[in-house]
Amino acid sequence: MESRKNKILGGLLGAAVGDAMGAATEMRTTALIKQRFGGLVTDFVEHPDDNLSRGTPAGLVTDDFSIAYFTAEEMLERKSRITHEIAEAAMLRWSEHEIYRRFVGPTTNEYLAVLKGEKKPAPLLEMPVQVDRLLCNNTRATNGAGMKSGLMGLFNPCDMDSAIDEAIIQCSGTHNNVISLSAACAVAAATAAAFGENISYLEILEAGIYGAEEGYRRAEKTAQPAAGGNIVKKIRLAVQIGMRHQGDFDKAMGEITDIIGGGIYAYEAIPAVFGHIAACKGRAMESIIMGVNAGDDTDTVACMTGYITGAMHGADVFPIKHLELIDRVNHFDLRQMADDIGSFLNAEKEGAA
Amino acid sequence: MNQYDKVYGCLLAAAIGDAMGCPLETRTVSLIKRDFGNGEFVYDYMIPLPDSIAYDMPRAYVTDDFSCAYLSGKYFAADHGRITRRAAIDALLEWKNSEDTRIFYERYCGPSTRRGLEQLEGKKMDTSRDYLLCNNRTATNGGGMKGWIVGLFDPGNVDKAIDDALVMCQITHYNPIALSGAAAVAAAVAQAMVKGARLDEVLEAGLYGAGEGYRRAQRFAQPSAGASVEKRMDLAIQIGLKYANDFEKCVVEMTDLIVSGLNANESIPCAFGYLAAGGADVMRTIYMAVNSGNDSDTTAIMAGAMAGALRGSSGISSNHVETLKEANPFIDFEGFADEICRVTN
Repeated sequence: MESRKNKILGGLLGAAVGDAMGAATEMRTTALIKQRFGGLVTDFVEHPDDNLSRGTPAGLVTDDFSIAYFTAEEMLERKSRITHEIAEAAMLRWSEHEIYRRFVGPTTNEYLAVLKGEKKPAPLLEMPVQVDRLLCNNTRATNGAGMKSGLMGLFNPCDMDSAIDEAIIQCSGTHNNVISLSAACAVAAATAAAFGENISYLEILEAGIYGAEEGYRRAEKTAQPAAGGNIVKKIRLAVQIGMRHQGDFDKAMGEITDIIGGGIYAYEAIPAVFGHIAACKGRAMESIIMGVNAGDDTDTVACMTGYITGAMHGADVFPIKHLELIDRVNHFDLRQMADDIGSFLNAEKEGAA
Repeated sequence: MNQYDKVYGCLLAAAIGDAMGCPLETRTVSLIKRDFGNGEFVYDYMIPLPDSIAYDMPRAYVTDDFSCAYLSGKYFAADHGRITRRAAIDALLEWKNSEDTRIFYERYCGPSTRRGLEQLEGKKMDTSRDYLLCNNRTATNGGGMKGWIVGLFDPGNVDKAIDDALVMCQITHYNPIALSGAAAVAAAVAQAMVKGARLDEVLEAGLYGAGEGYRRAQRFAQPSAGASVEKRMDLAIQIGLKYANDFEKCVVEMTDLIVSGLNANESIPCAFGYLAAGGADVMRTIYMAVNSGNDSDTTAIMAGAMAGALRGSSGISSNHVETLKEANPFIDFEGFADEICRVTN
């Protein structure tokens, strides 16, 4: 496999591995993860019956990776870059798969209901007023954009600016607010930058900050305002914490969770990703495992970390059995998908020449 | 400054923060300046705009926050200052159903309090998420928004204030993060009630309350994953002290990094940050909190309650009393302060 395709596969596989491993630990605290699983979770474990993944097999991904997967399928079938129309079609296509839709987050769920003319579901938090009339709806500033935008990094190797633009196109249907989109652009830009030859993890952290800054600036023109944490400043703080505790896995993970958070809001989960990458010096499996064990929205955090560090190191950094399990349980063919994305990019380049 | 003035200052500053923060709720710092302050920060009671939660409510009207705390306090006072589960429940039910305060429930009530009350009244609940071990969505600030009131009944007794906050707030907020936040605010008010109490002692009591509140609540409440109230308080206090003399920088850094949001691990640390930043100036603490936007009324009621208990009412213009009484006829600051002093002596 040529090197770029190998990096694309690395990003896909890293994201799928983080997501599927985190499905078992999602919602728990770190202490409760250790208690339930007898220590840190470092492999695919049986899904507990008291979280969202109950009754599903180990290795099954959640909404996080599966939305991106069906988006990529839609793009490849049409031989097209992302458009608003493709993003919408991909969401509908994804929503037909009940096994993944069960994990759906509140913001995406509301979007789907509107799209399909279904009854609106209960929002993230039940509020007494009709939230649609509010200038700022701060409960929509969630991480469901960042969880799928790594894909735009894989479609834009080394081109952060295009990755940022396309992440906004991909995510503005479901998460049209400045905080969610700024966060999505951080992940997309860092994933795009990860294709650089001999790129260091420090440069990837900078790319994330650039993506968050630029993403906010570009999204501001059309997206709804939202009050909440500042993605740029919180990434910086998370990175500082991660750097300070390099070499002490538990301490770094604990401090990032306690101060930055790792929850459903974009200004928690996305900064945590960069904190974990900083703490683990960009090592792929280690930073994914930190996300899996950090508690709260573990699958989303680990999925995003997987895009970035997987693209940085390429697919060979992951045990082959992980690819086999993900493909088998989910009926995916990630190698084929990586090959198709790479060929699409090659054809596009030839077309332009 | 005697005990009465501390109680009175606490009640008054809490009400000011709630009523002033209310119309600014959900906005960002820059949208508050743009839409209310003509580019500047806001230092008065605004009229709610159509795109806000409080639209068509009168100016200087308090919200669910103060009304719920006030009514709870009335029930505790009637029970000779004892904080009991029964009194807390009765107060909540009266607050929800009585002519005077029903409007606050209907208009503002947050998600966890609503669910708690529906459960109390035996309403059929959505049980589809009951199989989940952790409920990370109810780690909200509705414990802190009312829990400060128990500090007035436990002057100088920080440990009892923590226990009392847990008794009062677990009815609606049955998780260690929300209860940690409630205990922090209650502990800080209890410490602030001590004659000659210093700011650093109050901040320390708050940190102790957050840590102890979490540990004690962990023994009985449903677990919840999320950031630590205590560690974020520590960072918020650092930010507050660092930018104490730079109003704008303080508010921006606080909201960007700590967030004045609905979660207990957001607005409660913010309130402590502004308490630290305001120093001896109660109104400065309140102004910073209301201009934070997002959950500005809840951030400001907690910050105001702590600052008012520490500094008394001397720094607060009497205009506020008139404005608030006129807008909210159910509040009797002097009578209630008297009552609290009587039952705690």
